[in-house]
Amino acid sequence: MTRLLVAATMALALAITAGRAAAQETYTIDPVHSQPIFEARHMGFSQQRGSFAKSTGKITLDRAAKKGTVEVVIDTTSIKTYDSRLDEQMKSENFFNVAKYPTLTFKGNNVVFDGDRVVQVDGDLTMLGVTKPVSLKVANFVCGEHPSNKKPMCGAEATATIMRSEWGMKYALPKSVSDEIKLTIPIEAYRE
Amino acid sequence: MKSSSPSRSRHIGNSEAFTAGAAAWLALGFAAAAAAAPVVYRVEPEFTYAEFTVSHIGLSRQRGHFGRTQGTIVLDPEQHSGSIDFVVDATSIDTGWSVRDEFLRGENMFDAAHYPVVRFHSTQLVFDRERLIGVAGELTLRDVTRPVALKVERLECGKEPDGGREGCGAGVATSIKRSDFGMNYAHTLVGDDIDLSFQVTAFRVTP
Repeated sequence: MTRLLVAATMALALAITAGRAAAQETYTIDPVHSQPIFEARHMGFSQQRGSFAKSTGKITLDRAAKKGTVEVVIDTTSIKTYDSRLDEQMKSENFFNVAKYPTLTFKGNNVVFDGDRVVQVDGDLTMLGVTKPVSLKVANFVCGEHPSNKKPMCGAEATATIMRSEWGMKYALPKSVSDEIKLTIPIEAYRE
Repeated sequence: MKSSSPSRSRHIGNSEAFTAGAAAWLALGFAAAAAAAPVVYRVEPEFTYAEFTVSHIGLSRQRGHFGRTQGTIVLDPEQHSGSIDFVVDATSIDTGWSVRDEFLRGENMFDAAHYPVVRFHSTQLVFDRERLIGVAGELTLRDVTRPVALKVERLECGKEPDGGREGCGAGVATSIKRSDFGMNYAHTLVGDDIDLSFQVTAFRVTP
């Protein structure tokens, strides 16, 4: 009887483990629907915006274990401010120095859940060769399928506020361009 | 002013100080009169962002910009009057993906070949004391004109660093339904509710 109980418990434990392993999902970010946006204050009264047109990334989620990872690589040469002169300034060594640092990466290793929803991702942002911790707040995490191609996917919007000087981007501080940068990242990702 | 004058004279209590006080009031009056004249600002396209946000397949909120804008703002906060004219070049739509840009410029959406200009013209400016808080006006999109109410969420003025031009920055927002303007295509993919957000920087034209 005891042996039977042990065997049953083990079987159950195995089933749960298997279930958990199966619950690990991998998602690939859809770059054209996941363009990061940044916002800075300019001259003390003006608000400036820009975005990066190209980024790639993978997300893994294990909803049962409430764990996950995020890895996003942003192509800094794809920066756009909707003004070609400003674009050149942003690409220059005063700001993103894209010739030397063509990518910007975010690696998230702590995905925080509230129930079934992802609400936060803690990770490291590497910019200009400097790596610092950043927490992304995640809102509107929702999963479904694409109405046309019927592929399963999830969407969300991540936000964070960073101080660019922490990554050594100090040009035009403090008056001309603010230190504080607001990031907004819409995300759509297909399940593999 | 009337209620503060007696208390002021009580505190001061001598005619010399009163004369100085009166001169100060007068100077303030002149300053107010000078400020009361309408001030004309021209929108600086380089520092101005006309953005729309829309729900995509119910999973995310996607944004797009118009790269080319023009506008003139006239403000008279004392008189609670003024006007705002703002024009967006529909062909300058930019969502960071050329395929999508072409789709949006196409006849099913903005039909920019036929309607290259999106226009806003104010009918009334709304002030809270001397602060502009809202703008009622008409938006013309695809040749359809509808009333819209803009909320002024941010309005700050200052000078460019190093003694440059005097200007103001404003954050302005409203929401519309694209179907109200006859833009009815692709409703299963792209939401009907469109949030419009304008981060406008304008420099003073009048001296």
